[in-house]
Amino acid sequence: MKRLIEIALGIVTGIGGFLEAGSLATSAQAGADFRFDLIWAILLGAICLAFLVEMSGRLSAISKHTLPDAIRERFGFRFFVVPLVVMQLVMFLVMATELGGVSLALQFISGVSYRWWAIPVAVLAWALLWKGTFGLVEKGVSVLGLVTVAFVVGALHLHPPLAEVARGALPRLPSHDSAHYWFLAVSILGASISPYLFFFYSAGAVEDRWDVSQLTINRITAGAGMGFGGIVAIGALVLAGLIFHPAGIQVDSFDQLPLLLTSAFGHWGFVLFIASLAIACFGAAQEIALTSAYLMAQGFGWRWSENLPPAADARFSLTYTAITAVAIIPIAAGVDVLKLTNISMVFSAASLPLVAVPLLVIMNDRRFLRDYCNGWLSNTVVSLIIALAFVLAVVSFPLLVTGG
Amino acid sequence: MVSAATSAGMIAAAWDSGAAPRIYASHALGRISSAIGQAGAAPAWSALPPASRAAITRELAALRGVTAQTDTAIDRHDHAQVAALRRDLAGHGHALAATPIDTAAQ
Repeated sequence: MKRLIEIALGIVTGIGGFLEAGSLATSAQAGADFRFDLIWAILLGAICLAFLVEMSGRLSAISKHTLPDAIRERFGFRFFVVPLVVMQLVMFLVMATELGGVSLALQFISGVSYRWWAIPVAVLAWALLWKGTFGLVEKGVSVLGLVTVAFVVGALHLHPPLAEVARGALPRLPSHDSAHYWFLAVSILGASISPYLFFFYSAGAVEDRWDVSQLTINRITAGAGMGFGGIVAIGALVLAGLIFHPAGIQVDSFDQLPLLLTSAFGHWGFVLFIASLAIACFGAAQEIALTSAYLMAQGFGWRWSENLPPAADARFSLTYTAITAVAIIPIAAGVDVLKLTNISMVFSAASLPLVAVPLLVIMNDRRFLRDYCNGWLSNTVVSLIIALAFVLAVVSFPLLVTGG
Repeated sequence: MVSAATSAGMIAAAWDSGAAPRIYASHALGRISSAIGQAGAAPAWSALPPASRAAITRELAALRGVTAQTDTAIDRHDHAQVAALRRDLAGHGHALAATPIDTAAQ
């Protein structure tokens, strides 16, 4: 029974944690511009993420090393500095995006500009990290994030043409606006396969003291959680394909997005959208702030745990305080949140090789994984992900200029 | 900008049906009106021949005006006027889409 509860909580965490500002915005843009043609990108992202997350959890359960810890030990500190710096930059951008998402949700119901909400939102997120435990951050906010299932219910409520939706699961070449199509595909993959998620998951496995007995739970929660999470993002894409695409609406601002759910549920749709945006982005902001601190602490060998009082791991606590404070700046300065989202998703996609390549090496190193090294399937999938990651890294910036 | 006209119409409809609150609708329409204003003043139009430039900027100005009026009508809770302005928004959207741009004359 305890295992079933653990699995259920793990899946719920995956579903609630999948959708955030980036995946919501990119899914809606893809549905509006290309109807169901980019569903395959979300599916591909969810499958890649499930494999990578499973490996991060297995690494921590078997070796008791977190991913940054293992990268530093296996490749040396000089190598580790590169992903450390790049990931901190990417996390700063994504964190600002998430704070912007919560601030926009508050703007929609208060009329007060999102710029003014950036500081109160960041202070609340920081205070919960300061006072709360890992369980609160991981499970509390993610369980609330189940409200995002409204996108799936909404899509089904509008009776989409299921055969056409299913056809969208197969990759295809664009019929128009090729640069924009591929730009959105890269953005969706960047939003889905965010490297910060593996760092967070791997640190969480150590925080929760996982061991070999958790491997099955790890596999099920990674597969089902990310799979169902991907379905939520597909729900948002299908809604945009049904509502925005026929009307010729392009998504150029977050303030168009409540229409996705008001079209399906009327006034309750507006309430559900605000709750989804605020909770999903708030949860993601907390996870990113913690991941930034995990990465620094594990890389430099500081004491770390979200379950310790801040005085016991002062440098760890200072790091999440610092990134939260810095991420306020772009939002308080009035940067366009949708543009920031698209840019941060492209940076996120481009940073993937820096994490995926070391992960593949480590997952085949018996000093870390003993008898639980990758099998041929996992190695094949990660090799394909790495190939995809290099393509994304090469094409993402030119596409940002030509198709963004 | 045709997308902006349709978005504005959809937001007004959501307010009219009670699905979206006034604060949200007003803010979103204000943003769209401002975006249309910026589009109307974009330097890119200067590359067009004068006749095309005049037609485009005239339509954009009209669309901005109707969007702003819709915002005001929502502030006054005037459902009848909002319904009428929604038709105007759709009309201006179609007119904008149909505006001929004489690129050959450049």
